[in-house]
Amino acid sequence: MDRRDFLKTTAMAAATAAAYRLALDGDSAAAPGDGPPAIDGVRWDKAPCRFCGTGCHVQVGVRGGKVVAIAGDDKAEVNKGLLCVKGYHVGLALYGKDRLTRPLLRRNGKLEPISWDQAIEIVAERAFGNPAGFAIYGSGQWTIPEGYAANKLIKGGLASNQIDPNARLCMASAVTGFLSTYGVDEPAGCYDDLDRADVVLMWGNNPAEMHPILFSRIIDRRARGETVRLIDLTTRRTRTSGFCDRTLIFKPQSDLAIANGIAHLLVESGTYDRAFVDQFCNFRKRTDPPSLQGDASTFEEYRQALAEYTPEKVEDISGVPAADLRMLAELFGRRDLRITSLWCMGMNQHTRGTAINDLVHGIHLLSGHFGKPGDAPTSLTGQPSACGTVREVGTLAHALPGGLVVANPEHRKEAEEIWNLPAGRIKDKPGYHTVEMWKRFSTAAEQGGDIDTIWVQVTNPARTLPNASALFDPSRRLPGKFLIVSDVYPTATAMAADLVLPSAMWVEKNGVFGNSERRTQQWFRMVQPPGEARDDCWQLLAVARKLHDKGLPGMKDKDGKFLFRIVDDAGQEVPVWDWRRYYDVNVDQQLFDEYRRFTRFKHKDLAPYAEYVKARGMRWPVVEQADGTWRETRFRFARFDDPYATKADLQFYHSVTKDDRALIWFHPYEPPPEVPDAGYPMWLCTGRVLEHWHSGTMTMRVPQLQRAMPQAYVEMHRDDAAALGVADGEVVIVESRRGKVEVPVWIDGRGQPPRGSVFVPFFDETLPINQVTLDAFDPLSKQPDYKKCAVRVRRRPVGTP
Amino acid sequence: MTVSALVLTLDPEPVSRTRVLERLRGDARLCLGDRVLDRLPVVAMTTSCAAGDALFGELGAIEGILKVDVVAVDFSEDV
Repeated sequence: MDRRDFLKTTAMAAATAAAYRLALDGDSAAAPGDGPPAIDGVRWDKAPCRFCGTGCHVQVGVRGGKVVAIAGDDKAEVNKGLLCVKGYHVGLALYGKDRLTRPLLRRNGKLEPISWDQAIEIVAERAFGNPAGFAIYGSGQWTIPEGYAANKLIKGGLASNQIDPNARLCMASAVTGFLSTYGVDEPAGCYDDLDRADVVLMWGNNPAEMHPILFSRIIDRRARGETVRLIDLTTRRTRTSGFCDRTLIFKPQSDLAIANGIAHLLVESGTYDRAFVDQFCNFRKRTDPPSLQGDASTFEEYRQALAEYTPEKVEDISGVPAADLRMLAELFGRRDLRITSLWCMGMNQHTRGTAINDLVHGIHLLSGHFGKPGDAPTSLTGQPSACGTVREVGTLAHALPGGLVVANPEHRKEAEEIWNLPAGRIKDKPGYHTVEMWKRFSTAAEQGGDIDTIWVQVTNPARTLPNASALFDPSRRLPGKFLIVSDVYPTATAMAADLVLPSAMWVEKNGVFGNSERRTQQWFRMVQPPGEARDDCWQLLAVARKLHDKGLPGMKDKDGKFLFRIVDDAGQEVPVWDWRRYYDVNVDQQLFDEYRRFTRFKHKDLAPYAEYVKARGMRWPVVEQADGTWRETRFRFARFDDPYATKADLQFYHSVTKDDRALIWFHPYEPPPEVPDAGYPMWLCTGRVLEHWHSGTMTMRVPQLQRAMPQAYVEMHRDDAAALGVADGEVVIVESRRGKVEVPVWIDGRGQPPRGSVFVPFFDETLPINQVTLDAFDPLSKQPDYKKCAVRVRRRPVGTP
Repeated sequence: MTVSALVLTLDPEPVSRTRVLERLRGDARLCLGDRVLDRLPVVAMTTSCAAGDALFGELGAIEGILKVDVVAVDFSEDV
């Protein structure tokens, strides 16, 4: 057998096994074969995919120090051995031709190579000189140990709380929605709901492109002959719409009115689940100013507040026909169906993001569609560890690990005990949220711009901040402002930086991610990073040690030991700040097992690191059993599965009202802060596409993905294009009050906006649509609204090349 | 050469299925496995990863193929 035949045989074995799993509903016992294809000389190991928040596991094939093959992991519950188009190219994301391989310092306007010793000294000097003005801007792509180290460095070491992640821009409103409804963050359900739901209602999201493996899981059920009704609530037709039984196009922001309209019909028709509400829920109304706690309310007050949201009025606000609203309410009013709601950026990137999250949870609670497999309100995340590293590790400016917050003295005390810090080290005042952090960085010191240094890791704010020309660009012209960027490629942010630090990526380092369904996933380093690129976590620890050596008191615990004391099996400290020694021990394991101590406070218990080495992830709370094994939890708050729900069938044990009940909120519909007018007559929506991930810094370097979707565009309705006199493919100017971008028109393309709306994806660094978007944000989550602002579209002047 | 392991979901309608299988059998780039209900395991051998991507798109566009899932890709000659 030659190599070609061998490859063919092993690939066929893998495909056949997957065909069995798909055809027989995941019954892997019936499937022949086991594991990835046996390719000569290839060593396989597991890792979660580097891209989205789904958390598919891949098998990574390595030969000769390079990743040469990718296979879906047939032992992974999330993806059952399958991959999406980004997933099967994930290995190639390591091998773009322009990887950063040396630290670079800007001198006389040019980035020039320097040594790592010099680079670490410069970062430390910035932090040492003004700890209060030194901020870290991180990411939902940080691994859990990386985010934990950054959080501890800022909150336990520099004692400033000036750290916030890019996940503020993608899921902060989901966090506040969970907190205000259940008193604790993250979904109660999991992906298993998708295997059981009779109805899947998508609130402004497009899983066919953004979470294709999850969507495929639903479509596979149909292929097996099951009935799954899909309903798409959306502001434009997308690839998802093509699979749906009904697509309901609504006007931007009017999802609030739709949710209230459904609740109104449930209440007035008496089809709400009174027994469920009586046993498990309280009612809440908002305060002024708004808060996550709100004020107590009654069912009668709730009913009265909803009274104006008649189907006809909601149709007037939203454009969704009254008959369709009645259809939605009838579905929720049925007890014989199981209903799962899915949402992502559409509800979160919203100036009333917390409110719409509350309202969707409220519909599920009001109708009793909660707590049974298939009955779940579930938010999805866009980044691979937005849940793990941001929400659970607490890298938000107000948070501490494990769901604790800096404003709570008891929480600070707990954190100081775990970190062995002197009492009072952690400050009670939250740091700046993302928009505020960058605003202050882009403001002169004498005008209140008190952030003078930002260290960016694993994200590209020059292209992803809203209204970037106001929030990012001015900092690059102001004296005294210093931007440090750790990244793997020369992104737009890196190229604007004063100091660039080359980073290791994905399987070039150890890591742990946490996905959208509370699943914590571990992997080991498999290949070496190129050149002098080094782990982000090492960079943080090296700077901390440099600060320690300079005498910054915060870098020592109350016993005078280094804040990040990593030891060997004999308990001797290992100088991991020396890169040559960094992999002498498993730094990830020690940081993770320290972090794990925080997770018990809010019943987000994690198992020891070693357990995750053996598993394809486990969903928290993970609790040790009498026999020493560790058991994950699929359905939180439900007595049949959650070990902490002991008093009733459902127990919301972190209830805001301290009575084990969830809250059903009323929030009114309110118009968005900017609406189309005579000068800017169209809505702009932004988002992602199937082939690319976020600002495209990785996927645009995979030739196959770049060729498949080479540049950004503006989707436009045929009639709007005709009225403007532009043809398909013609370059136009999309312009708001804040900025403009020139992009080609795509008519009847993949997405189809209604008249008066346009859509531009943000993956293309060369066509930065976030120069155009609005930086208005939700008052509670502080998450900006990228989904709606007013723009005009105009032809380019004659003679423009 | 790139080797990809795929699973095709076929339209259950018999005439459509027969037509699709005939077409697939005539494609020299493909090696067909044994069908499991509506799922057909396939190995695709193409000259490059890009050609594999193009084939993925072609298969998805064939009437009677409802879905193309990717199981594994060996791109050792592309890196």
